[in-house]
Amino acid sequence: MKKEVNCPSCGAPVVFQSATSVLAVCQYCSSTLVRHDLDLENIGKMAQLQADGSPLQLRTEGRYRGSSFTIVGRIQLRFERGLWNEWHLLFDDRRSGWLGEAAGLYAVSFPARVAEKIPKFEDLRAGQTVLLDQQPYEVTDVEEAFCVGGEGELPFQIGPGYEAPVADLTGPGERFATLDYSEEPPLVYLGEYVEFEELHLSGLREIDGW
Amino acid sequence: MDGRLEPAAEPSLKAPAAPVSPQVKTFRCSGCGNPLAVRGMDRTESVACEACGSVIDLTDENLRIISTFQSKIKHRPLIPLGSRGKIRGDLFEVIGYLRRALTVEGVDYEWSEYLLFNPYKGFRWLSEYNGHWSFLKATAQIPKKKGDGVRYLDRTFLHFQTAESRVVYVLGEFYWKVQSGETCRFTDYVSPPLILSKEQTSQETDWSVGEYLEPETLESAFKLPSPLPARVGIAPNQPSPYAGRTSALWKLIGFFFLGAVFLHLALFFLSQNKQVFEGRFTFQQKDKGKAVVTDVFDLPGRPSNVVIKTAAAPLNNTWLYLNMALISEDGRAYDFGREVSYYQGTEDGSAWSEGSFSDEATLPTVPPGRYYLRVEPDSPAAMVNYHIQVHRDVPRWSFFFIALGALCLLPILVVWRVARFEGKRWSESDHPGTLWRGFPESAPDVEEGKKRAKDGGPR
Repeated sequence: MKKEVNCPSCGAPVVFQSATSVLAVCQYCSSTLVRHDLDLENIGKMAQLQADGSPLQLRTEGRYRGSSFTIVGRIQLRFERGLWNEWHLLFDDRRSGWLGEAAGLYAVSFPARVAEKIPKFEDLRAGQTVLLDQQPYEVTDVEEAFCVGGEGELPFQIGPGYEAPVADLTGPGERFATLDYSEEPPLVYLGEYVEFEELHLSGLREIDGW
Repeated sequence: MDGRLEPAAEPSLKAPAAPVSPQVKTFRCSGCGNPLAVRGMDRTESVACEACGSVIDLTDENLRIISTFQSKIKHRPLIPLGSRGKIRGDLFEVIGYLRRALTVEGVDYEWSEYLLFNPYKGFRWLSEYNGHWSFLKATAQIPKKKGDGVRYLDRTFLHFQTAESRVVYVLGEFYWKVQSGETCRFTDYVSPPLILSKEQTSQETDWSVGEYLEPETLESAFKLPSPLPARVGIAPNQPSPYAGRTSALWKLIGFFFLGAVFLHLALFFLSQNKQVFEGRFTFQQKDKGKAVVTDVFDLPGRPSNVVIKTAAAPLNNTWLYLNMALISEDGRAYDFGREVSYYQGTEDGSAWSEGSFSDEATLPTVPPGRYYLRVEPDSPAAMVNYHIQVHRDVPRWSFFFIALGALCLLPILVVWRVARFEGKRWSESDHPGTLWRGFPESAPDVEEGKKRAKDGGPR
């Protein structure tokens, strides 16, 4: 449930919209606040996010497969090819999801539990086929991404420079999967690529001239 | 200016009221000091200076020059950098221009690529070769291999060519650090009006899907002051002017065929096909040179054909010649001669025969009236019996077959023209000499195909 607290550093109100969020970045002083059972721990200032021209921002609203969501948080990652955002979505039914976004490419995913055994990061090769939830996925990219920073609220703890060994996979149709090896066992996210229009986004960042 | 990125205008915090100025950053070229603009906002990684050919790395804080293009010819993009136009419903701005070249058997082929940007939709490409344009975007999924080609959006794309291209000229900005002479191995697959392009560098493999665009579409989209250059030859993914229309043509031919059948059936049933005279006669040597005149009979109805059937017996290794005339009571005569002959024997132990005991003659258009036949028989035989039947208005199949033959010419012409078009298309591919490869007749556009794939996709 929604929970409002005061930033231990500057006193500004900080809202945890999602019960599953454990981390929030104070939008006034950038203090990184970690929620424990009863109290908040200030683990220091969050690094400045890099300007990436994304049209999305916190509190942008949209729809995915008939469910409304609000963007409540964001992790910015740096890959070799450039910046990539993972926007933390809070759905009306309290579900938590992710909207991956970079340079006009959009993908919605959800954490998933799969029965299959996930190969080790060291053993992953591009082109390899991995079975996830009984579907064949092809590994397209294996990379050590770096976390640039975050904002809003997130369901796990992150910090700048946090390494994220990740693999991207594409499956049948528009399906895709991300394997995140920053935890053990690795986290599996299953989702699909979506078109900008399909998300019916509102509250986007105004971009001059567009 | 110290060469660092600086916003051209202070971004306002409130929603800007129209008119708005585009978010363009300017800085000076590290090579020559020429002012340069960045339109792709924070997505741009490198900018090529028009004045000196330097390519500047925007992710480097010292704006390092990563490459220099030495080109004697200054190419002018046909759609200028900074132009905005709506393509397939989305507004895009031209932010980069590059030329690629490939060499086949010592001959250089060059084409242009325009990088388009929209902050919400991301990047797209326009490619131009010999006046032919395609609008391309990255594919979200990897097309599946199928034989020599690939499957994508429920369509089969046929392999067109695999070659290595190099970047020979750049202008404007790019989302990667573009290098002079940078090469990529590409493979094109076509399913007109779509093209699938696979680009492989040492680091990655990218797929993009493009749709053939008519030059007029771009002229009006970008409000170009002068028309784009005329097209030369046939592009790999150019839709055949006969595709889609051939099915209509086959339908038309089908209708004509049915029409011919119905017409003929109607004629068949409406024909009187009536026997108007029948007579039996005998020829004897003593009657040689004498003519026989039949009774007068009536030829009813409209002007129509008359069929005279004759049969003779016995006829063994001999002939009967009948010199006949169909004469009307008012004196009009149709003269004709018919021969009935039959020969048989045994040669080298096997029997042979030649000729027949009967004959049929048609007089095409005979007006109605009262007529009689005058017959003057001749034969070397001592005695021959013969039998004459006169039929009025007999349906003929020959017209039907002539109509059918004419109808067959049409598809032959169509097939020839389609083959000629396809032959030109494939002449520049890795498969020259291909005349006919089964493309689907109708073609949904990229977005439609994507939606279709999505609707049928998993939940």
